[in-house]
Formats: sequence, C-alpha cells, structure tokens
Amino acid sequence: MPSSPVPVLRRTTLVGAPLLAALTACKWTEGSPSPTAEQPPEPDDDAQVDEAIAALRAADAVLVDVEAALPVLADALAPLAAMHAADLALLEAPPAVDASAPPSAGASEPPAPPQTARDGRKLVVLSEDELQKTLVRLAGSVGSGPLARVLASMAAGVAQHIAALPPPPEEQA
Amino acid sequence: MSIEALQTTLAAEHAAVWIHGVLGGQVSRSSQEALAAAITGAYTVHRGRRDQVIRWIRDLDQDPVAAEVAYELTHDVATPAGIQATAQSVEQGCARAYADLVGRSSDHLRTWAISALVDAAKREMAFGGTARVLPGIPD
Repeated sequence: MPSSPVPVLRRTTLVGAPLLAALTACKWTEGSPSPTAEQPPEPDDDAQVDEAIAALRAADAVLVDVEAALPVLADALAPLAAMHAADLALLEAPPAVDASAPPSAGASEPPAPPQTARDGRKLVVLSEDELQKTLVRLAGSVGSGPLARVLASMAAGVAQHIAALPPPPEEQA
Repeated sequence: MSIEALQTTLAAEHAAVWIHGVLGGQVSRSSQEALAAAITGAYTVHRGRRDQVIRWIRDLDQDPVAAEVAYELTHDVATPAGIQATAQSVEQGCARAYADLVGRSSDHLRTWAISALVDAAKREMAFGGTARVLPGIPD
C-alpha cells in the first residue's frame, strides 16, 4: 500500500524534531543503499526544492498580477492561490522577500497587465503549465523518493486545477 | 526499484481495465457521447499500461499478480452520475498506485509513473472530479 503522504523533507535546520525524525527515516532508506566510504552519499535535494519554491512563487506572482488587473477573476483563481500556498507550506518555504523592493539591475520589465478576462485566464494557464512542467522535471531528478512523490503529486494537482478553471466570464452562458 | 510497488500498480491497472470495461457497457454511445468516449479512452490507456507493467515485472523474473475475477463497483452504475463517480474512483485508485511508484523508482520507470499520475489526475477531472492539492496522496 502507498506510504504516508508527508513529510516532505528538506532543510534539517528548519524542521522540528518529530518532522526531522520522520524525514531522516524516509530520506535515505527507500531504494537507496546506505552511504559507504566507497560510495558517496546521495546528493542533497535542496537545490531542487529551492527551484520548486521559486517556480511556485513565480506562478503565484502571475496570479496576483492578474487578479489586480482583473478583480472579476479573483474567485476563479482563489483555488489556485490556495494550492500554491499549501504546496509552499509543504516544502517549508521561507518567507517571501518584500515584493515592493526595487528590482535589481538588469531585471526584465514585467509583462503588460491583461486587459480582458480571456487574456488573464490565458496568462494564468500558461504560467501554471510552466509550473507543472517544472514540477514534473524536478520530480524526475531528485534523489529522495518521498520528495519525488510529493513533487509529482503537486504537478498532478496543478493539472487538475488548470482543468477546473472556469471559462472567462464573457464566455459563460 | 520496488517490485511491490510495480505489483500494486499492476493490481490497480487490472481493476481499471475491468471496471472501465463494465462502465463502457453501461453508457449510451448515442446520448452520452462524451462520457462514452472518455471511458473508451480510459479503458484503452489502462489496458496499455497493464500490459507494459506486466512486461516490466516479467523482465525482473517475477510473476505478475493476476487479475481478480471481478471487482467491486463503488457506485450504482445505472446512471451517468454513478458511472462518472465510479470512473473517478478508478482513476483515484490508479493515481495512488502511480504516486507510490514514483517514490519507489528512478529513471525511466519514475518518469513513466509521473506521467501516469498526471494523466490520471486529468482523467479524474474529465469524469467530473474535484481538483485537489495532492492527487494520489491520501488526505
């Protein structure tokens, strides 16, 4: 039978003792031999977790921008925002940096805000598609089986939420 | 790789093939064209996956688990709503097996399981399912 869903893992300095114990138990034991002198330990997955967090935050920033430009879409996008928040919490993402901070030198200009609900929805779908692809890629590349399982499930959740997005208001009967 | 996870996946595929076959016999191809097409598509996909998983298990010199004689239907399949609900249950069961396989495999097998998990999640939505945060992982 499938094993339990969480905990996911990662920075051992950030997690509490019970979670840490569970993590440690699952991180190295499934399908990977114990590290030995001849065999270096499995590479840490922190870089992939950081990339997943960055991808989730990027997708969430698109949601925020679209909602700001088109408040009529707020209700339709709320489940996506809730999913991003849940995923970030599961990955133990640190607090986001201040979004009002001035952009760094060389930062690209943000895209123009969408003018219609149809354009806003399209922008969100493209962004979520990109997030899903990133999560799929990361799920295939991490060393930890439990982390792979969670990242793949997150990708599946994104796919479901894209499918559940209602058509833009102007196309609804 | 975990042979146990592969066998669990195969058991889920056996159930999916059998149940989608039953559902295909219950749905009207004239009045429920979209639902009939979705069930036919699901049946074909799961049959292909079943055969693929059987090959992988045999490649490992193991005996694939056999299909049950019959499987319990989770809902009354006399109505379109019941057919949809049953199909959702099938895809959820497969998604759990795929997610478990993702966590217990690597390389091409993990890639296959990830793809199957995402597909099952989408298929569940096509049968009227509700979007969840972590499909394939029990709440």
